[in-house]
Amino acid sequence: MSAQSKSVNHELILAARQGLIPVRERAWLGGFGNMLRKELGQWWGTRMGWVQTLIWVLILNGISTIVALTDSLPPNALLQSVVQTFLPMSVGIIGLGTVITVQGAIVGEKQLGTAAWAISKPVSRSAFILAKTLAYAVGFFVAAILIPSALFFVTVRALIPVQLPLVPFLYGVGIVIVGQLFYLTLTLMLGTFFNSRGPIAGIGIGFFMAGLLLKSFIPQQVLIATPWPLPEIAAGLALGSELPAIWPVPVAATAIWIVVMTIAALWRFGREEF
Amino acid sequence: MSTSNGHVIHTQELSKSYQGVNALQGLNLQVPKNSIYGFLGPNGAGKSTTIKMLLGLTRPTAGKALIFGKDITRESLAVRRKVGYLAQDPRYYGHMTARQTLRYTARFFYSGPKDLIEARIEEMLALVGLDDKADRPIKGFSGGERQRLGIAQAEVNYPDLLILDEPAAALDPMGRRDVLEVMEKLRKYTTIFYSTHILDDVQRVSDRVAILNHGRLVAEAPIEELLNGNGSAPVYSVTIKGDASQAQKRVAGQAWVQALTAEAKDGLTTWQVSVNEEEAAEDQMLCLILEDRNLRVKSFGRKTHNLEEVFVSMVGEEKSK
Repeated sequence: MSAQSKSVNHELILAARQGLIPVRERAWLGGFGNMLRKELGQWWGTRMGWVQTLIWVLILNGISTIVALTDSLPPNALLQSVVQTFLPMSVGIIGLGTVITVQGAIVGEKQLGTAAWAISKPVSRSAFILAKTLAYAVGFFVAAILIPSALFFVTVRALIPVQLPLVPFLYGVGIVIVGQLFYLTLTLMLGTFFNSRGPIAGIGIGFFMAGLLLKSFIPQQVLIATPWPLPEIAAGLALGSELPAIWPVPVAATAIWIVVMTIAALWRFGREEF
Repeated sequence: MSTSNGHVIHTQELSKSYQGVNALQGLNLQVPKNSIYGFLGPNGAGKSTTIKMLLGLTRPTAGKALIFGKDITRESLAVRRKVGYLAQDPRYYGHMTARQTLRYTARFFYSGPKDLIEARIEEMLALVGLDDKADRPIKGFSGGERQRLGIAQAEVNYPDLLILDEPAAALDPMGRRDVLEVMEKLRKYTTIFYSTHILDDVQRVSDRVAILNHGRLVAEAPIEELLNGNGSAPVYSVTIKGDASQAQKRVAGQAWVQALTAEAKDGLTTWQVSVNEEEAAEDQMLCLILEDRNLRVKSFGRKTHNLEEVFVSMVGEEKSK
């Protein structure tokens, strides 16, 4: 440091901060813009976003294309089969992938000390959580939902002579988004409560597996308060099939869970001692 | 800059306990503007806990603290806008380069203009000697390089208060010297509050010192005062050649002498004379000794301590309580 520091005119360096424009943000969202830019940069300024996109395209589009090419069904039945593969699989596997990818998002920063470093700057704790939530939501939306869904739509149109209507398909994609946000906010919330990845992955994956294993056995009144019926709802909406009248309830309940878990994450992280 | 009675940091009975264990007990500190304030203590004394509370990273369990007159709990964000902080073991995002880290830090404080922010980043990189490594990912940095980056990111926002937790701990002697030089230069522009256990560094650059032990403040004073005995009676040390027994009686009989101890070794006698009037001691002591024509004074001066002695004696006293 000494050689370089000699060449530097400290008087100039340390002089006033003329001309710089101070950041003006509301206290509870202080630092949000900068945090969000950094989080999105981590997705799209590194290989992470493109690797995620490649993985999801290979899994979701790969499997659904194989189904489209190998099932020897009449066009309408084939369309139904392909949509019933793609959308429920998207809700499930993207949820699982979210837990695996996001499990270290908060805990990793707590363990490494970067969370404490960021919070020592004019960054509100709410901004820290909300920037992560938004960046991961956008990242997963683009890499795991938007690009694979667009490719799926184009592929289906190319391979199956029966048209898949766009608007109902978008409703189905909307349900995939709701499911992904559920697992995202669940994992982030767990990250604020725990200090190691084990319980976060365990609870997140456990909840997902419980949906697969217990869905048929638990009472309807409990089931509709969970995101577990979302895969069937997504496929049903996209195909215009008849759904049980209560189908909006699991969607609304999941949306409420998303809000509740975000509030819980904000509350817990606000009390974190670094 | 608003301050609390002219103090940049003002704590009142600031306390922190973790699950019944008192990490900090009733800390009262006043850090003057533009001072370099050394915050000393052995490991586990509560230094980092105090710093974390000042930055809003942890909450006090009792008491309060003001920085620039703003409450550290209720107005933490406003406080952090004026502060630069270097953690004890600084960690950054490994995928970012040093330049990106400084840019990220600067953008918490300034929204533009871009060219001025970039110029400031360049200046900081040069200041800490990382300009040749500015575009390498941090994950390959050594501990010393991370520390230098830490100093740059702490200073990038022109802070009015710089809080440094063990700033020189991970540096080699040259690096330490450079950090101390930077701190001395920054004094004109900012107040520096830093914790350390490297006592030589404290003695070199600090104006004021606080010593913490087991979560309690055991001393707080300007460095000179601490080295001169921190309010206790001044002690003069005299080394005499020859038989000093008569002179000892003369000096010990003076009203301004509180105590006199003598130790003879190799034909020399060394006195430690504690006095209650410095002027009288300096005016009269030598004359009283030299009344005896056979005596020769080899050395005379007010006894000063080095910080290590002060630190060890204070921390040791606490331990024995």
